[in-house]
Amino acid sequence: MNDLNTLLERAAGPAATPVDAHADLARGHRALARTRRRRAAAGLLGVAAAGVVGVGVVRFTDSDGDIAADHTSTRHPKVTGISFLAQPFVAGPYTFDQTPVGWEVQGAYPQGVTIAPVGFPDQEPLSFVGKLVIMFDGNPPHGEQVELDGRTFWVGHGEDTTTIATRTLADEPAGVVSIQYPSGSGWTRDTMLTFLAGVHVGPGAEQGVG
Amino acid sequence: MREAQRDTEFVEFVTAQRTPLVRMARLLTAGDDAAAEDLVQTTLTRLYVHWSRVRRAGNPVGYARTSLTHAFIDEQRRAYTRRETPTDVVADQPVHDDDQDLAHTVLAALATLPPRQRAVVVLRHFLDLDIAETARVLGCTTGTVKSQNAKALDRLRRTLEPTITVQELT
Repeated sequence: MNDLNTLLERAAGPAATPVDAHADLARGHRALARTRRRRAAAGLLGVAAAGVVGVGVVRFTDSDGDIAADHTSTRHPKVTGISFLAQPFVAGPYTFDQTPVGWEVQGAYPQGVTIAPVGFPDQEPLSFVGKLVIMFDGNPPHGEQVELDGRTFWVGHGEDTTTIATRTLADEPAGVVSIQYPSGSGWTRDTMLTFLAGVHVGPGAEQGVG
Repeated sequence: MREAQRDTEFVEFVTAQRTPLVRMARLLTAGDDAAAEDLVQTTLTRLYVHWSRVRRAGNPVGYARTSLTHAFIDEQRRAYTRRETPTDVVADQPVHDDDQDLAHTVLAALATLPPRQRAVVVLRHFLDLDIAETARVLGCTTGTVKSQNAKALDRLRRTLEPTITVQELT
């Protein structure tokens, strides 16, 4: 008989190996320098976050209350499952027609944008668990095809995320813009189709690797 | 925070914790040592960049484990990524003795699990985290941890037995 912990202990490899921390330190130095350069160049995180936060608290299932203040706008339909303000915001080279209330931009970069609930414990922009991620790349979209306002979208389901993709518009850099969101967090497919339809890719966007 | 202090503390942390993190990553990647090393490098780099926050949180090991788990799951499910197609078969490795043979068998069994189930197994049964802590690391409910754990153990048992008899798992 084998205890699972014992099996895993043996499979994990040697418990004592020589460690040279200086290679990790050098990588850390380079990453920190890049981060500081990026922040200094654009003031991106702070500016973008200020533009997105909006008001209120996260109310995933509230489809009415928090957007009552924006009844003057008729351009963007009210979406369900999460509160939106029909208030555009800019994050790096991407422009959004709607602002998800209670969410903020954690990171904006040429290849995409990471959006998370305000105060989300994981503040690492390149960590996507539990977050909303907008990506731009050149890969052919796949999944269930959905038509909305004359535009084709592809909906795919992962283990615990859903990804919706669409080709960029004629006046945008050619490619595919997609949105990945955690399933079961209050974001519905229709909500995200509407949200993604309002994402505009600017000339500074770059296709991600893949 | 002074750079020298950051560097000193980081080097101390890496010296003490790098090997445990590599071992955790090796299980998460089901024995893919190159992928495990990538995950650890990514994790440690993030840790360094956010070291001030890590210090304030007062639990750098927990922070690193969470970051490593997230890096693993992100890498597995990133849409349109550069990652290779996962396989249920661990790459051939020379088998020198019973220990390595056993390790190879266990890693092959881990490779059959979906990423989140594998993460649950590693967090619960290798790191010995309780259900609540596992749920916190994975950003899900305790109910999800329980169900994922049950499915994972059932699959592991079916994969490992009768070659290896696993003690009653909970």
